[in-house]
Order: sequence, then structure tokens, then C-alpha cells
Amino acid sequence: MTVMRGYLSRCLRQEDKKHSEDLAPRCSFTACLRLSMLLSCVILVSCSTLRGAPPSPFPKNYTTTDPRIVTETDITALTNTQDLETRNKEISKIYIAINLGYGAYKTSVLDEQRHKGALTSLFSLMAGIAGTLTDSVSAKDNYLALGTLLTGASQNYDANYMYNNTSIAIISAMDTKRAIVAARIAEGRNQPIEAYSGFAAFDDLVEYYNAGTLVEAFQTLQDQASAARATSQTHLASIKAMTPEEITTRRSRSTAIYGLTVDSGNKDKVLLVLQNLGVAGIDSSTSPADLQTRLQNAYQDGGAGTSKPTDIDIYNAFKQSGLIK
Amino acid sequence: MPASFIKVAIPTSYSLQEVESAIAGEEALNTRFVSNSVTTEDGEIVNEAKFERLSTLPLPDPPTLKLASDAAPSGKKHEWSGGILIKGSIKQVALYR
Repeated sequence: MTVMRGYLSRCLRQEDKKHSEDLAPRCSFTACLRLSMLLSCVILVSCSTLRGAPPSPFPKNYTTTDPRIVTETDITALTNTQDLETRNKEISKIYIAINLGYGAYKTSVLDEQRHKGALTSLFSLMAGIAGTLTDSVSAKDNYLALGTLLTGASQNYDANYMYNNTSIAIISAMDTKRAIVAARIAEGRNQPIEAYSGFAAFDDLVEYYNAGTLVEAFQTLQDQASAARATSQTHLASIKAMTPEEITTRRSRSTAIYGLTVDSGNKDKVLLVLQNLGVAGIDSSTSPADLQTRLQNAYQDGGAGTSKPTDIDIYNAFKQSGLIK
Repeated sequence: MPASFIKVAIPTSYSLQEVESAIAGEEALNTRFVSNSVTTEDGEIVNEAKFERLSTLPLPDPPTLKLASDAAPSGKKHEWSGGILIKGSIKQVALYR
């Protein structure tokens, strides 16, 4: 919008300069036409039903009995109180207000197709308007093409993502974040006022409200995507060509390792050898069967080069301990 | 118990024989070759080989790798066919055991 507004101002200045005398009526008409298009765009933006958050319950500076609205009096009562009962009563009131707003918002995100439609149509419209405002023929073609692209993309986006996946993912992200903050609030309610003051409660309630907004949902999704990407970017270890002798030797070592059965009789010794090798996540409570699996996996990973110790380290350590021959 | 797998890269510069020995070496750890996918990692084309972790003996018989266009080795059973990058170009190969 800012770009379009800037463009329009520049346009108007240029028009005025170029056609200051003889073309004044035409300039005025063109400018009016462009201005009306711009205004239409502004109106459309302000009328868009797409909201990034539920209606904020606070602060409303008037008295009301509407449970969806929090007044400044409620906030003052919460933040100033030194009394546990008052604190919890005010927490409940604000908590309910946030939940009521969020419930309606969640339904609207899931059910109202017009949100997505409005957004895509808006971009389409803006591209179309920009096309009419551009004097260059090639640029105009580009804008028209963009408009067509957005229209087509809308159908595809609608069918494949927006309602099948994206909305649910967004709601899920908001629910997850809200549940975390809700648990903190619930825990705080059981604390004495000295440990969980009205101010602390109010901070948590604001965070609870924010957790149910698109901004927080996108942040949560972004964090999850980053974590998933980091996991999936584990570098593949390369295996190496081996001579027949090397293969035969390795097969002998493997036969010895896989011939070992871990049971209650040798469990402690196996555990000690594995711990000395630096195999993590095992202790005296690990069952013999799990220890055997950990040993075999560590041996395979070590041989494949995906982790340390190597298969040879493991074989040597077990041989030295007398657990294998 | 559900099958567990291990994924490794087979160098794309290897010859058919080197690929075969690399697979045999990996299987000597008591794993069994499952498949290979020619895919990308960090923008580079790689052979991503998948092996199933075995937990009991005996070890799998050593594999024999042939170009799919070549005759099958006698007395061996066909186990897998697919593409592997060999010396920089994708070859259709078959694994027998």
C-alpha cells in the first residue's frame, strides 16, 4: 500500500509538471481515476475479514457485564491485590474472557473460507490495479500475469493446503502454546500470593492471550520447522569399498559380537564395557535385552561411520573383557 | 520388533565392483541392503543406501551386483533392482545373493 501510495504521489507530481497547462483537465481525470482505485484498495484492506488474533479482551475503559470483555478495573484489581482469593477470582475472569474470544476465533480460522479468499482476491485486485496504473506495456503484462497466477494459485492453495493442512497446523500451534501457558497459570493459582503475585498472573494472562494469535502460531511453527530441518540435515556417512580380506575379518568380528547373548549373568559387565566406550543412555536399570540392542546398534553405527566408537573399538573392548572370544 | 534401518552414502565415484564391495562391507556388520535412492544432500547428488539392521546370526550371504542389462549370475537369487550413481552416471543395476 505504501508503495502504491508513493507511486501515486510521484505520478501526480509528474502529471502536474508535464501537463501543467493544456492537458490539465485530462491530468485531473487520470489522477482521480487512479486515486479512486487506490482508495478502493484501502477500503478493501480495512474491510478484510482476515484477523491475526482474537479480539483483544483488554483493556476496555468502561463497565460491562459481558464476560468476553476485561475492563481496566479488572486489571487493576488483579495487579493490586494482595489477597489470594481476589487474585484467583480475577484470573478466572480474564482467563474466561480470553477463552471465549479464542473459541470464536478458532472457529472462524477453521471454518471461514472467506478469510483466505479475501486475502488472495485482495492481492489479485492489487496486482490488477497496479497493472492499470503502470504506463510500461511490458510491466503491465507482468502485473496482469501475476493477477492470473494469483487467481489460479488460489484454487490450488485452497484445495491442498489452506483448509486441509495449514489451518489445522496453525490452530494446533496456538493450542500447544496456550496449553503450556495455561499449565503455568493453573500452577500459579495454587501458589500463595507472595510466590505468584497479581502482576505475575497478569503477565501470564497476556502471554496466554498472545499464544492464541497468528504471530505466535507462526513463530511456533517456524521453531518446529527449524528443529525438524536440523534433524533431517544429519549428514550421511559414506561407506567405503573394502577388500575381500577386510570383509572376511569384519564378518568374523560381527559373528563374535552377535554371538554374545546379554543376560542377567553378564549384564553388569556388558554395561561397564559399553559405558567405558562412551555409549550414552544406559544404566543399571537397562534390561539385558535393551543392552544387547544398544550394543548391536552401536557396533553397526560405528562400522558405518555414523557414530563413535567404531566397530573395531567395540570388538576389541569386548574381547579384552573376555565377554567374547 | 519393528525393523530398524540405517542410511549411508555410497560414493558416486565408485565403480560397480567398488559399490559391491562397499555394500558387502556394510552387510558384514550384520545389516542387509534394502534399497538405494539417487537423491540430493546439501545440493549434491548422492547415493543414499538403506540397510536393515539385523539382530541375529547368520550374517547375510555376500551380495553380487550386476548391471541390469547383464545376464543374472547362475545360482543366485535376484533381490533388488534400481538406479545407482556409478562413476558419476546413473546405472540400472540388480543385486543378487
